[in-house]
Amino acid sequence: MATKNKKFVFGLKKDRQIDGDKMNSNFVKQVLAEGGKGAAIAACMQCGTCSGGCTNIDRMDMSPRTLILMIQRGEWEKVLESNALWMCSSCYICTSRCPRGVRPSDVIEAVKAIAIRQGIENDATRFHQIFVELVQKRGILFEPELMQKYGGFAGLLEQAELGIKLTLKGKMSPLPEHIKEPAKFNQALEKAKKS
Amino acid sequence: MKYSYYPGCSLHTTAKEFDISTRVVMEELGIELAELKDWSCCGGSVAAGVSHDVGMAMAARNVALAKKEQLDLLASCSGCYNKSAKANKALDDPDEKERITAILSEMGVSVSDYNIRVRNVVDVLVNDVDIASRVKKPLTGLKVACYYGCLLTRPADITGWDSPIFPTSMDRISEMCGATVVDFRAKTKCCGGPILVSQKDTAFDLTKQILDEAQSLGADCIVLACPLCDTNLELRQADIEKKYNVSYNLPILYITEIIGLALGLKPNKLGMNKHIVSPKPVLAKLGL
Repeated sequence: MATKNKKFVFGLKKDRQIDGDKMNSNFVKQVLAEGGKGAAIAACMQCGTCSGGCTNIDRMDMSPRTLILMIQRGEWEKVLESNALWMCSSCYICTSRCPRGVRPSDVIEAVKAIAIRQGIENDATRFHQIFVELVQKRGILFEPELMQKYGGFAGLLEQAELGIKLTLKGKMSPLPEHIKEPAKFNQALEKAKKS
Repeated sequence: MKYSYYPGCSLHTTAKEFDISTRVVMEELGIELAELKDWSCCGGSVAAGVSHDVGMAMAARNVALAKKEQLDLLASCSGCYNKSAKANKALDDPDEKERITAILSEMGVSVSDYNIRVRNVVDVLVNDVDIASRVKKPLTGLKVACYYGCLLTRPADITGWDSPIFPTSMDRISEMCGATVVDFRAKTKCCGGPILVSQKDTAFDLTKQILDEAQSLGADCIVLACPLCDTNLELRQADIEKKYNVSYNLPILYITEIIGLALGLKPNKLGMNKHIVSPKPVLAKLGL
């Protein structure tokens, strides 16, 4: 809109405006399809309760409230490049408090998956992928392997002292556990990941 | 009462004392646990961030196995509990069920129509058993800070047995055991568990806030029910002390260990010799 912002009694800050002309339902549909089925993105009224309680908001470049708005507007790049996706610790404070049932944690989870599929790369995406790959491999996670794959030799070395303490306490087995049919488990999940 | 018991990856490794104390205390209270046969990792908070269907299928596999046993699924770890409960709820949704069942059938796991509930150890201990009448050795004089973290009580439509904003179940159990409970404002703050590996500094900051408050309140220990929170609060306590040049030496105990002590069980029988931060100051205060 080229017209000047008219203010009546009070004005809404630009970054809070939900403008019907700017809405882009394609992105919303993609997020819902990925799994935010319970997520009522369209119901968000931009109250900011999610941001107010967020554990890591002061470390995010975009608040959960803004993130939902950007999804509504279809601003793909901004959403996918935001560090908010990876600073979210999935603590569900926002989801517990949202008065409209938007479930921002589940929305962020779905956007993470889309971002990884689109090739966004950082430490967190690498961790996500290695974690899932290793769980798929045996059905049960073997932590030393996770540390080694994620952090390399340096990663193992950094945790060596703790590792030794845990081993002495009988809390770290040198051999990984696995389920009965890991190959079938892996295959089924690999197929699901690609579909 | 008999449950299908799902220990999860952590309780077989870094949280062995939680596994041992859960089994011993449950047996003492007359609750039978049969370990879920061939259980697998629930995928935690991570798997669904790679693919919703992969995350759901990982968690639903254990629910399906428990359905086969026709027993309610009992999980100790907050993550395992939360994700299993979420998957159990998703199986009520026809669309989700179809997607999950398809993946599970390729793994060779069928989903029966038998309905089960997914329960958490704390839920069962506070709602189903009368601990107060069983206390033999009250923990008089012990000051505890109960820490709930995130996935034990949130979101409420998946958990529902305690408040997501101001939970009190572990406080009530601790009081029943004779301990004094401090008013712990950080009780539902997040420790940063799921981002510990990729955002270590942030997780350390968050965990430090929790340790700081517990220390300033004069708590003898933090009591919790999640192995991931324990990883941050106990296993990385020394790293946090080093990074911020502070000193805590704060024992971190599982709620089942506290109950076990009050029931008169020996600390070693509860696996308390397996802690990385020694619980000796707590035991000394109790004259054990």
